[in-house]
Parts: sequence; C-alpha cells; structure tokens
Amino acid sequence: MTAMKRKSKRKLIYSAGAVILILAGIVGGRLWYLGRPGYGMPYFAKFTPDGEDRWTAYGGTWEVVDGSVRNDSNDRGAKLLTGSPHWRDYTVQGDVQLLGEGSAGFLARVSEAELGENSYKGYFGGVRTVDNSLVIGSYDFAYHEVTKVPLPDPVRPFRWYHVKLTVEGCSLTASVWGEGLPELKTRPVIDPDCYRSGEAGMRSNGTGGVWRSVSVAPAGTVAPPTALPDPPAFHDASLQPRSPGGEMVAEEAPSGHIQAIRSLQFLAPFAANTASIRGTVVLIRPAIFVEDSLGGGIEVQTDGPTPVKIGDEVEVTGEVNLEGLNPTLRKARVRLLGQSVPIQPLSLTANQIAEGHYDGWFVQVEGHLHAKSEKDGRVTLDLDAGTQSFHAILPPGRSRSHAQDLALQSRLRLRGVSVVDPRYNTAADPFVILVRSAEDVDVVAGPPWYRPSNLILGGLVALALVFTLNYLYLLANHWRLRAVAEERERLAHEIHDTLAQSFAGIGFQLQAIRNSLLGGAPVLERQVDRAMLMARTSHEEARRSIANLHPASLGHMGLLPALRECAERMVSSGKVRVETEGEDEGRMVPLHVKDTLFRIGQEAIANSIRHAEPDTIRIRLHEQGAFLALSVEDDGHGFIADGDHAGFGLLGMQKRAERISAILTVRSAPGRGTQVEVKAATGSSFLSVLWDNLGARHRDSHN
Amino acid sequence: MIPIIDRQVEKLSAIRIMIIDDHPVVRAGLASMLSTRPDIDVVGSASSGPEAIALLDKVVPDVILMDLRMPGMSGLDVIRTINMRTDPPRIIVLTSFDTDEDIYQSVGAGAQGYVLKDTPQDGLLEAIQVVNAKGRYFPADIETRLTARMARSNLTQREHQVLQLVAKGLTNKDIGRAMGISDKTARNHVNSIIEKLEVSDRTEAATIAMRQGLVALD
Repeated sequence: MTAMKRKSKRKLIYSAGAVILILAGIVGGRLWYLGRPGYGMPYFAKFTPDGEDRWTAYGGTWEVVDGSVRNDSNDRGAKLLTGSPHWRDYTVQGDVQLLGEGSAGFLARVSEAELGENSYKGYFGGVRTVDNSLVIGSYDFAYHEVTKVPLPDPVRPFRWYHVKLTVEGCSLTASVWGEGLPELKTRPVIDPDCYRSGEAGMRSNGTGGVWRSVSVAPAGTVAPPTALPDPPAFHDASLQPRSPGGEMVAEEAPSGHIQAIRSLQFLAPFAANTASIRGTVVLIRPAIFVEDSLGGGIEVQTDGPTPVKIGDEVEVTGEVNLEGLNPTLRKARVRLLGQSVPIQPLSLTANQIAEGHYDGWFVQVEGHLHAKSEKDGRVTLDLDAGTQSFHAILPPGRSRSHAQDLALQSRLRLRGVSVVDPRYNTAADPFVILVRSAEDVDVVAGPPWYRPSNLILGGLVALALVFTLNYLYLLANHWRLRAVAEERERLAHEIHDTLAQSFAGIGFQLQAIRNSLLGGAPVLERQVDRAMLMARTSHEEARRSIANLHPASLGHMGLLPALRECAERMVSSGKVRVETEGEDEGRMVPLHVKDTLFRIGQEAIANSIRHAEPDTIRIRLHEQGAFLALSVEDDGHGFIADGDHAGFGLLGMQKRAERISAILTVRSAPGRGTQVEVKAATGSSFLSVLWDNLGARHRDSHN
Repeated sequence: MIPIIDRQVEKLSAIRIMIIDDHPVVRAGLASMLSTRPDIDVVGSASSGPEAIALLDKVVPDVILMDLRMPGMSGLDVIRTINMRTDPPRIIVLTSFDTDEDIYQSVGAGAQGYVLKDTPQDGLLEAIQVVNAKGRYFPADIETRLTARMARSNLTQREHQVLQLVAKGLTNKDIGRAMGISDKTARNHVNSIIEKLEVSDRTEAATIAMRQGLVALD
C-alpha cells in the first residue's frame, strides 16, 4: 500500500513536471515567435476605420480618412507607432503630404516613446519645408541631425512625396521621389552606436500631415508597389502659406473690423450681419471651431473644403447666424494667418461647463462612463460627473476601437469642444463634448472593483474555494475515519486474542473445578457456579466489544433499521417482540453522532434482553427540533433507577453520550419496565460538523 | 494398581479428543474440564494447524475441537487438510464468533459441529457425543443462520478475494493491480458480487460483507 502510494506520488510529480514543461514550451515558443525580428513583416497599413491596424499615438489628432491616416494638428512631434519592438532591419515607406510649414516622414527603430517633440529613441526620415530638404535625424530625447539632401524644388504642402527610410545594421538611408521629382537619395550613413531594433511609425512636426500606402518590409527585399501621387488635394491659393518661413501675420489688410467672438451674440438678431474674427482652430471635424484669445469660441461653416489644421491661426469672415442658442459664422472665408501649436484645453468641471459660458471652447473635463452607443460608425459616450450628465461624441475611425476598450464605470478625462447646439446635443444634455480624436479620451481610473462582472467572478471563485475546502475537509475526514477504523480493528484483535480467549479458558477451568466437586460442598458449588457465570458474562461482553469495534457495523444503513436488525439478532432464540417506531433520520447526521446513537441503542437492547426478560422492546427515533431522540423501551423487570444500580452498561452509555454532548435519560422502576432515551444535537451544516469534530478531537486529547 | 487399570479400561471406551487452539488458557481450561469427564479422553492438544497435523501421525482422536482464528494456517485450511486424510477424525469448531460466513465456510470445509466458547458444558458435551456418533451438531440459532446463508448464491473463491479488497475501500484499479488482473476484470467481479449479494453498490456490498463476516477479521 505504501509502495503503491509512493509510486502514484512519483507518477503525480512526473506528470506535473511534464505539464509544466509543456506549458513553458508553449509560452516560450509564443514569446520567441512574437519576439522574432521578422514577426508581422511585411506589413501593409490598411487604414480602415474599423480599427484593424493597431496604432499608438503620441500627440496629434490622428484619424483615418479615405484609406489614409492624417494628423490635423500642428502638434510638435506628433507620433503614430506600430509594429514590434523586436523589428530590426527594415524599410518603412509610403506617401506623405504636409498640411503646412513643418516636417513629416517616417520613424524607424523607435523605443521609449513618450508624448513630446523629441521624446523617443530612434530614427526619423522625411521632408521639411524650412530648408526644402530630405533629412535623417536621430533622437535620444534630443535631436541630432544625421544627414540631409536639399531638394531641387521647394517642399510644398498638399503635395505627395514618396518617402522611404531604410535601417540595416547600423546603416541608415532615406530617399524621396514624387511627381516631377526624380528619386533623390541620401548616402548611406553609419551610426556607430545605433539603436538595434524598435517600432516603425509616422511623425509630423509643426504642422499636420497625411500618410497613405504605408508599408514596412524587411531590408533588402523588393519594395512593394506604391501608389502614384494624386494631384494636390487643394488648389485654393488663398490657403497656401505665404512663404517657407511661415510668417504669422497676413500681408493683406484685414477685410474689416475684427470683433471678439463673445461680442457676436449681442448683434441685433434677424439682421444680415457680416463679421470678421481672428482665432485659433481647435476642432476640424465634425465642424470647424475657432477660439479667440478673448474667451470665445464659434463654429465656422464654409461652403467648400477648408484645409485648416488644429493650431492654425486664422481670420474668418462670414455671416453671423443668431438662430441657434449661440451664434455661428456662415458662408465663411478662412484666411490662414500662420500655424502654431494647438492651444491647451481649459480644465473645467462639468458643472462649470453646464453654466453655458464656455460654449465653443476647447475644454478638458472628467466624468464616469456609464454607457456607450454607436451610430453610423460614430461612438457616443454617456458620462456623468456628480449631478451633471453629458455626452461625448467621438469622431469615426480609430476612436471606435479605442472606445471598445473603455470599461463602463471608468473615470475618463476628455478633451474637446463643448457645445450646446441641438444638432449635436440630441439628448438635451447641458452640453456635449466634441472630441478631436481617440487620444483625447484618457482613462483616469478603471472601473471600481465591485462592478458586476467582478462580483460574479469573485462569487465563482469563492464558490470554487468553498467546494475545494469542503472536498479537502471530507477527504481529511475520510482519512481520519479510516485511521479510526484501522485502530478499532486492531483493538478488536487485541481483545479477541487476550480477553475473550482468557474468559473462555477460565470458564472451562471453572467448569473443571465444578465437575470435580462431586457434591457435598454446596457453598463452594454455588460460588463456582457464580464464577462461571461471571466468566461467561465477561466473555460475552468481550465478544460484544469486538463486534462494536468492528467498523461499518452501521454502514450507510439507517439508524432505525440497523438497530432493529441488531435487536432481532439478539432475540433470535427468544420470544421477545421488537417494535420500531418513527422515521429514519431525515437530515444529515454527523457520522460519529449516528455511530454513538447506534452503540447506545445496541447496549440498551442488550441490557434489556440480558436482565429484564421483557416481552416487547420498542425502539423509537424522533426528531425534536434540533435534536434527534432515540429511545429504547421494554416492559421487563425494571430496576430502581439510582446511582447504586448503574452497572457498567449504563456507565458506558453515559460516557458515550457525553462524548457527543448528548443527554442520556434512564427511567425505570421495579416491575414497570425501563426506558433509555438519548437526545443528541444534530447540527448538519458544514461548520457545525467541523466544530463537532474539532470538539471531539479536543475532548479526546484530554481523555 | 487396580484403580489405574480400571481407569485405563474405562478410558478405552471413552471419546478421544484433540484440542487445537492458539490460546494456552483455552487449551488448559478445556483440557481440565474435559478430563474430569469419565467418558472423554483428551489425547492431545496443539497450538496451531501444522502442529496438530504433525500430532495426528502419533495420536488418533475421535473428535477434534478447534478454533477458527489462529495465526498462520487458518482454521478452515486446517479442517480441509485434516479431511484429506483417510478416515479423518470428526471436527467441531469451537470459537468465540458466530458470523454467518464463519459457520458457512466451516461447514463447507468439512466441520461437523459448530459451538460457541461460552456454551455451557452440557451443550459442548452433547455436541461431542452427537458428532462422535457420526452426527452433526449445530445449535438452533446457528442452524437458522446456516440455512439462510446456504440459500444465498455462492461467491466464488475469486469473488471472495475481490470482496475483501472492496471492503478495504480499494477501487477497481487498485484491486486489479493488487490481484494482477485488469481493472475491467475486477469490475466484472465486483458487479457479480453486487448481483449475488443483492445489494445496490459496492459500499453496501462491503457493509453487508463486514456484517455477515464474509470478510475476515484479519
């Protein structure tokens, strides 16, 4: 048995080891697979609005539009990254268009990226307007120009350039070509302490940009076919920047008197008012919003496409429309004055915004997400902050997949333009936040731990724990019972081999003496007879002890049938009638309680048959509230129920009853039969069984 | 001298008894008691089966009184071995236990009587006389049980072994391993036992087995 146990234990250890090895193999293999320098390559950016591409933005307002990705803000060093940190030697290339004065291009081997102009390690290759050149730069939280090649023509916004950046070993090359521009290459440059691996991406600085046909392929492979440049998107000369330097002030005189945005609401309604304002663009989609430095924001509606970017400083002239709650400018003409970094939002509470002073302003506000909905690819978030509730409308595209990751009940920080206009505010909330891009939704704090899914999970875990504990408890109990059974077995053997046999032998010896007393000594004969009776009784008791010690004498039989069977067996040669009454214990009774009741019943029946010469023995089992009462009653001789007459049998019963905290009552009188009743508490719950057992062990240790 | 001769003559017609019991007190007490009877002659006593079998080459008892539970060779094996001799002595089992299976097996092995050790002298003497006269002696309650046990279908030797292991709480797999059979075969045996004992499952089979003594104490 022990050898078997040891064997199965070893087997268990082996199989556990095998499982661990296999798991480690799977995890290791997966890590290796994901960590391969070529994992995911070649890569072609799809730029679909369903968020198939997993990009990470650092600054800018990156959005997917018509199979391209664009950053409409003048952020300094806006980055959008993808790929694996293990990518090593590769070429990243695609079509790039600048939206103003600045630079735009591709990034390679990027690591430790953060928000900020120079905040990353890696390489940049792209075109810039300031010196009309193709450049390669190296960043380690500071900019180092590696090389540059001047272009024959000035680098112009709204024109497609195909830019290619290759990193191979420590050699860096970049090239550019475009419509009417033959391919122009840098010399391969060696960076002796080069970065070995990192993600690929796009970057624009000081202006917005548009990228398309972006691909990443291992270095040395044939370049994938690339899109031909489209004609420039815009021809509106008035929108072209004036000079490469990007002067901030228009040369033309303003078309009229410049007004503060805030003052427009005081114009006479229903009059055809034309007004000019100056301000900074804070939002482009779904509408252009301009905010001026005097504390006012306004929606600007133009008749045609208007290629402004967030951060652009513009002068807008248009008709003042006072029909809504707040004025708008219609049929507006937008003149670019210059470009600058986007302005910072005003941090407000929902209550402050709800007062209405900040309509059209670029604000930052926090709230708890309590619902998400989607219509025509446009995600709307329902939020509340204290007593205020409001909505946030996300632009279609990348923010959709971003919104899917937002957990309900999270605390969000949003940046966007606050509006009350019913065209956006369909739910009649105090205000709506028009969010610029996915990156304008930050999660301040995740949902609270007590959300339903966690509670359900916690409940399941607790349930599993309870089951496991219960199982372990039952297992331990089983082992304990087995040990007890084995010990009882041993004791039974012991009694059989010593006491029982000795009593039998002594009985025979006494009989021998009795046989030798051939009359003439009546006193001696009586005494020997008595001694023989004593020996026989002792033998019988020893036998009964052995039978009692025998495990599973009760088995899973009910208490009542077991006692009945026991009684019938004892009276089999006599003429005593056995009656049973009551139903068997319906509830779960702890095994040791059941066992003890059985033993007491057995003893009571034996006493009755041995001493009382009854006609009938009645065994009854009844539930009385939290107690189980067993009574054994006979119509025999009876005795005077006082301490003096309490034989060993009664004492034994008393001791057994005490061990399970049961109450034993013996009622008897000469000629009136005897009733033995035992009442035991039957806590059936797991805890009370545990308590019983602990208590029993405790008591045992004191005995 | 005469009384001695008389005694010997007398003893010549007496029933010759051999006692086999591992317990010295029983042997001594029983021998003393029986020696006081003029019609009984205790010709030998042995503490184990092998010792008794060896002794049978020297003395020829009419009746053997023997216990069933002895270390080493079991009482049943001793009965079988003795019964293989030509003109074997008659055998009465004298034991402390009266489980159905003990009684049944003893009779199966070839015992002609079954008496409990706490039986009064008269009962024992009657048993010796009846058995010596080529009869069989079983007290009323033991007879009843024997009949009941006989009515039940017989477990084969193999099923018996399996039942012992079932009673110890072994699984089919463990039983198979312990007996060198497949666990499928072990399962078949267990099913057959359950059917023969008319019980619903193996736990009940084990319970019944213990209660009726189908499973040995050791």
